Amino acid sequence: MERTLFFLVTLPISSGALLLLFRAQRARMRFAQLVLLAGLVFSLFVFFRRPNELVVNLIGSYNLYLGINRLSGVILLFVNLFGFLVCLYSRDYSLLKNKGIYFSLLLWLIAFSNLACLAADFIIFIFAWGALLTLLYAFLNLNTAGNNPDSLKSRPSDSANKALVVVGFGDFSLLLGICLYVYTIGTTQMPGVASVMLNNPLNWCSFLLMLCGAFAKAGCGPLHTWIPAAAETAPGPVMAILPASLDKLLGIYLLARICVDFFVLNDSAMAILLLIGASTIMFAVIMALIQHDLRKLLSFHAISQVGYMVLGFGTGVPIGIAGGLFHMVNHALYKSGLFLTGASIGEKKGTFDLEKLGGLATYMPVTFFTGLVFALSISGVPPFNGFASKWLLYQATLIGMFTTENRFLALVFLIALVAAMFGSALTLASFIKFIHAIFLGQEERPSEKKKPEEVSAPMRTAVVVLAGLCIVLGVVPNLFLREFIEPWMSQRVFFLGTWNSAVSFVLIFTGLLLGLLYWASGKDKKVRQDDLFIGGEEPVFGPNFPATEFYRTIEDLPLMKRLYLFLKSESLDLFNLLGRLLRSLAYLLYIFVDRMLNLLTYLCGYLVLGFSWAFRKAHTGVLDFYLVWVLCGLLLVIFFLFRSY
Amino acid sequence: MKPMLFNVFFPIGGAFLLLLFPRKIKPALSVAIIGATFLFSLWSASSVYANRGMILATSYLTDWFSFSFFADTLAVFMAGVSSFVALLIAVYSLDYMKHYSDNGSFYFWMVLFIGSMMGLIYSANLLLLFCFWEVTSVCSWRLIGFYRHDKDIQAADKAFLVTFFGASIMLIGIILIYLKFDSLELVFLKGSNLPNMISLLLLAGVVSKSAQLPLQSWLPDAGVAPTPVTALLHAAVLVKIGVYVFARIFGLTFITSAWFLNSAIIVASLSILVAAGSALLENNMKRILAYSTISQLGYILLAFAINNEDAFKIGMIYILAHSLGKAGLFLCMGIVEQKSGTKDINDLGGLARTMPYTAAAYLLCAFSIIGLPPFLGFWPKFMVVLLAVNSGHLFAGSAAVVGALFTLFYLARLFNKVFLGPLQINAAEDRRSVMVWAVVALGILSLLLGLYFKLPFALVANL
Repeated sequence: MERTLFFLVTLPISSGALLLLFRAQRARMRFAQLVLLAGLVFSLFVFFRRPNELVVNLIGSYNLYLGINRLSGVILLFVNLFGFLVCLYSRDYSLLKNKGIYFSLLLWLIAFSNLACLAADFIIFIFAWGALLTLLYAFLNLNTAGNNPDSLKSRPSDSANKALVVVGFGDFSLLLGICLYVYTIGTTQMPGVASVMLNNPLNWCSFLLMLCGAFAKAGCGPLHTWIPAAAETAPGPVMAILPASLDKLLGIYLLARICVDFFVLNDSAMAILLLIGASTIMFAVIMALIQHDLRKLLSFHAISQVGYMVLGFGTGVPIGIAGGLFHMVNHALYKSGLFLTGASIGEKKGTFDLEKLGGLATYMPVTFFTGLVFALSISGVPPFNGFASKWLLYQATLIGMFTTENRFLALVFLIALVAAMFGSALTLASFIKFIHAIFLGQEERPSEKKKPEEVSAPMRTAVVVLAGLCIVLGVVPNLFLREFIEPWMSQRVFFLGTWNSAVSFVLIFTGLLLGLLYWASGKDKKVRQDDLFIGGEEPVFGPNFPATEFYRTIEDLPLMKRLYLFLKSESLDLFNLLGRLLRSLAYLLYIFVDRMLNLLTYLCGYLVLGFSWAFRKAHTGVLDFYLVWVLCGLLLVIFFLFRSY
Repeated sequence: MKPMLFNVFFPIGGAFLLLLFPRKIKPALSVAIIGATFLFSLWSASSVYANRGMILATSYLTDWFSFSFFADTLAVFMAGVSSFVALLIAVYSLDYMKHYSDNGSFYFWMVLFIGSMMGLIYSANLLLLFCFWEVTSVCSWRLIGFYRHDKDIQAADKAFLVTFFGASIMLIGIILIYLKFDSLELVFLKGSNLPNMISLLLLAGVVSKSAQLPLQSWLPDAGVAPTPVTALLHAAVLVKIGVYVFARIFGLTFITSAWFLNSAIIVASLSILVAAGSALLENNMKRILAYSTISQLGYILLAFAINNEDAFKIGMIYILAHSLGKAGLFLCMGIVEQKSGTKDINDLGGLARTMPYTAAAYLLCAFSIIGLPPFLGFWPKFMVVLLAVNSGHLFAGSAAVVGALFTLFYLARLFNKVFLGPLQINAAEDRRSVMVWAVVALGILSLLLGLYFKLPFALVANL
């Protein structure tokens, strides 16, 4: 039975290599899909049966352990689910240029993600973790098709490079953090119960370095900068599988292990996490508000939502940790759905510019419906899943605020609560723009002869499944919490409020149904068109008010203008900061050590030449010279012999 | 006759035999000789792994000098890695060197170098080891100055003089060992306590040969040599002599003080940082890779200086990973240099379009050198950091991680400047060439051995 663990890794790796030998594209896709389906079945088996650990000796006393716990089982299940759905979607996605290698990369990605979930020791974990970076780099280098004009703005290699450096920094930080942690606990096996207190600089270093690894992978500030850059160039399904789902699942999985299994958090650590979470929520959502590129808008929201998860762990209370984990799953569902929706729009319209889109609800009803579900979910509107997890997080910050005796921490809790709620409102504002600009209103060039039509059935199926899961998890959040989250936390999560999701769903659904019936009855179908009247002002726009225009006013507000100028300047971009820092250090080392030593080498050479020159001058072959030397020598001998007298 | 003797004397004899053959068949013949050397290495290795121990061949001449050779796991591992990489580089040279008229002497020195390298690896007498050490220096001297321009000769002289300086100090150490222990046979000296003074004298030789601080400056200048020479001598094989001798003397033979080992760890840590920082600022692609070699050798020295059994094995795996990866990188740059005619990365760009295979091979090798999984380079790099920290050397572990970050930066910069961006020089395509297949093989091997990591770990399991 332990072999199943092994299969979850080796099967996709070997199948990915085998795929490269296939010539027919269709056979390649089907084979990949079959393997991923098998992976999903295996992961279900592993989740329910939980086989024993597999142990392999690496060297000396260092062993490799493959195993499963309650949390990694959940992550494993969702990793394989996303792998399968994205593969299903990618079959017909035409903007992908290198489909040959794409499916192999996808299989390898799932294999190493599985390995990261199954790793029960730090060595195999960091191995899988780093391999995911290599695959991220490969994925981001994949070209989208040339018929997409937006993709030409920046090169895939630039964003891949940025991801390599930023996530690479996170990975090397994690590596050092792990080594320091292993030094403290004396074993490479991952602990199941936290025992390390944050009471000395070494443990603090280890904690912060490990956090860097988790943050870089999950895309939390300040290690988030690779995500917007990647969104501009990477194909939609790649964004859906990596920054939107797998990276979030794994990054937050690591964060959960750090905060619950590895370290006992104190007030300072909690405050750090809360402040990072709150600032990530606010900063990213403010940036998202002004984006006109669909992919960049989604990418900033992918960052903003991580803030909620980090905030959940920062509360340090069970309900917050459960909320963070629940939000991780929810986010992976709706954000990958949103990226796939974006990819469908790019596929059909050839652009991701919100100003050039509009009115697609008529032509792409399924995409519209699923897009709406995802948008409402991410905005935290009941009864969708986003609300359920945010509800837990709000409660956690309140509990934290009222239970802590540390006044500063209570203030931080309050800041976090305000940021979380305000961020949620801004997310809704941003997604109203998303829905309006893409699906409602009228498109900029309605005169196009060929009207867009709905994407293919497999692509639709993938997003419908994701949207369905968003609704299901929103309606029955308790069931998910009981079955998936609580077993790992080994304690129950109680809702403090009186929110009953199922009843609310029925009420909301009934309301919607009644509204629909009223609309269908035809009483409201007569529409009167009139001239625009804006308080007596001359209307700047025509009847088709572009959704993006409204948000321009935010950008022009006096204080916001400065803030946006600062944020856009990227002066806090870790990629640039790190580059400058390492370059400065390199200059110091190069000039003051390397060049100096080189100079010293040459000086030694010149010294030898100087001696040689002096001796050459002393040996001219003239007898008088030698006589002088003999006399000098004689004087020296006399001096040494008689100096004591 | 024991296989290791074939392993040593076949290439040495072959090198002189090469002189008798016409120029046209010299390249193919030298590849055959190096190929046979590799097979002899495998034969030696199979004998050692089968017997799980040491095989000796001794012919005593005096009490301080003898023709004694032995083969243990470290020796056969080193011989196998060196001769395998040498074989691939020799195959690469078939294409690379065909444009040069005087390639006869090139092959002579190269094969002689392989022979003396094998001799050094299997030597069981310190003075014999020193003799082979100096023969490799002479080979390196002639090969660096192969083009015989003024700057080539200057660089060759610098390399020779610096390494000779280190070797001379090491010779004093060897003499002091004889005076103290009355023997230079490694087998008899095993387990003896070595005073710090002698250890430091021997370390000078190691530092000069493996281009560690403060005697590192010869290696970046040696980049003027033909690419196969740089790849073979100054990346894959020759520079490993220093760390190999460190492992042989301080790891397997003598017992040294913690103070001395800490000094070696400081030297290694500083070399990692200084060389990696310097690599980030250079614009000559061969100098970048040379600095990278110094930095990576620092990791190997660090592993051996930690001086426990696990670290020792990790050092051996590092030698394998670095030899494959760095040889691949140098050979990739050789292709670029030959097709474009420049080494300055500011004059290059966009070559991934005309040289996709070279670019892909570069990436595979670079990832291995950076230490990214699933490539082979990850395993030793991570384990070195882990073992350094676990043995209490927190500074060394941190320096190793910062060095790895530098490596990521400078190798990514090199790739971006040479292969990405707008096409600067219209270099020829790289398809269907022996050179390209050699670098692709090195890259793929780095990947496969990283995935099937059990193999390298199994090879070093029994010391």
